[in-house]
Amino acid sequence: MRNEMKSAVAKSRGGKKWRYVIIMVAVAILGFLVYPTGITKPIKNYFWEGVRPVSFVFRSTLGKIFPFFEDIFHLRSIVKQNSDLISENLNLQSELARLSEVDYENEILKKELGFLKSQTSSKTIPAAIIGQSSGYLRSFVIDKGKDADLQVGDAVISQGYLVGTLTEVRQNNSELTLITDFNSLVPVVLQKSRGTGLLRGGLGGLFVEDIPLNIGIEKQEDVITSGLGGQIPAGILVGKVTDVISKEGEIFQKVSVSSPVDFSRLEVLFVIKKNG
Amino acid sequence: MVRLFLKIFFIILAALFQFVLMPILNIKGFFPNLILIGAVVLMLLDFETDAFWLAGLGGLLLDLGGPIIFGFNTIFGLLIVFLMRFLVRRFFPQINFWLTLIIIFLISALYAFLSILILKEQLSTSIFIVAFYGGILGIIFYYFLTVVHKPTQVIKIGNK
Repeated sequence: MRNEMKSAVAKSRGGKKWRYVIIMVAVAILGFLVYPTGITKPIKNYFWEGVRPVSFVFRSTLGKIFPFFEDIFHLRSIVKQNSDLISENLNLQSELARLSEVDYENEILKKELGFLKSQTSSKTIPAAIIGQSSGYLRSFVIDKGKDADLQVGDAVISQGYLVGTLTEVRQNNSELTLITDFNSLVPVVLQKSRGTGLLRGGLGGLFVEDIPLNIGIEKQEDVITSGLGGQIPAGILVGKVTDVISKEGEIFQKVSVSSPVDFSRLEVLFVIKKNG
Repeated sequence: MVRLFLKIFFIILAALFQFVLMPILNIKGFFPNLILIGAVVLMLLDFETDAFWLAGLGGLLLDLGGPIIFGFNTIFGLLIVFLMRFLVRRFFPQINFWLTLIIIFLISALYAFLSILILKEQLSTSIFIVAFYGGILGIIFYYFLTVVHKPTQVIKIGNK
């Protein structure tokens, strides 16, 4: 009698387990069917809203501790990098002083010639990273969305350099795809040689493709956004040209680009909103 | 009922870890699927119901927050747990360190491969780095669970 009761309880438990499995599969199939309609988008938005406080706790604790230990392993290179940056900073300061003068002169000349302000102004909106939705996609979820007037395609910068564009904007959060992602394409221009091309990410690093062959590219020249397409403002720094990769018989040139931004340690970001 | 809520709480916590903690602990920008590894380890240690719960509910949460088409994580996780159930019962009655490492390595590699294909990303050898990382995490889970829950050894004496 007792054994019969035991087996009945075990059977009912087993039955319950399969019931749960069937319910989960049914939900997954239902979700799969309604996914293209965009019904899951608000749920996704609230989900990431719920994740936000946990993210804040993790990023302000563990997010600081792990990079610290990583830094200890790279102490030697950090010291060298620091001295390089100090000398570069001094050079840049003198360059900045010179350019301020040029800027002032330029403004005066524009006034003399009766030019209107040609550049469209843009505003920056600070945003923080909440999390990463997949380990195989170079993307982050940030804590600003339609509520901050963001739109798909808006540029995102960190330390003054372009880091990515918004690929999905929800009510309170957005998906940021980094320029290092293989599917990211940004129109850019090489600042000195004026060669235009498309910036593409990938596992091998950043590359600018489709530069016409007649352009004489210089190493270490700056790569900036060209503003083509209208969504990303022109003139945002992307990085420097490190190598020119051209093969015989090709009709376009390709260059590799290095960005000083550490994409695995992004913290505070700024979304650039183009006005007008 | 309390146990059920606790289970759900831990699964939600695991999903939060996947979205928030794992990106911090990335290797070259990649990180494995914590939920999938957890479900496989639970199945290997014969926590069958918990494994199905984690794969199902955890998978749904990953589908909800992730970029891959809805249902992929849930269905893939449940299929893997089913497969493990069959393999453990049929071929691997004794689980050890190497077997856990190899199983989780292979499953993590398969998951990474499919994810990369669906997301139209670049295929590379980094799949193996993620798979190995997953294997190490699996071993840590495995030993943690065996320490927390010491299995009672059952000696079966068959009829002659």
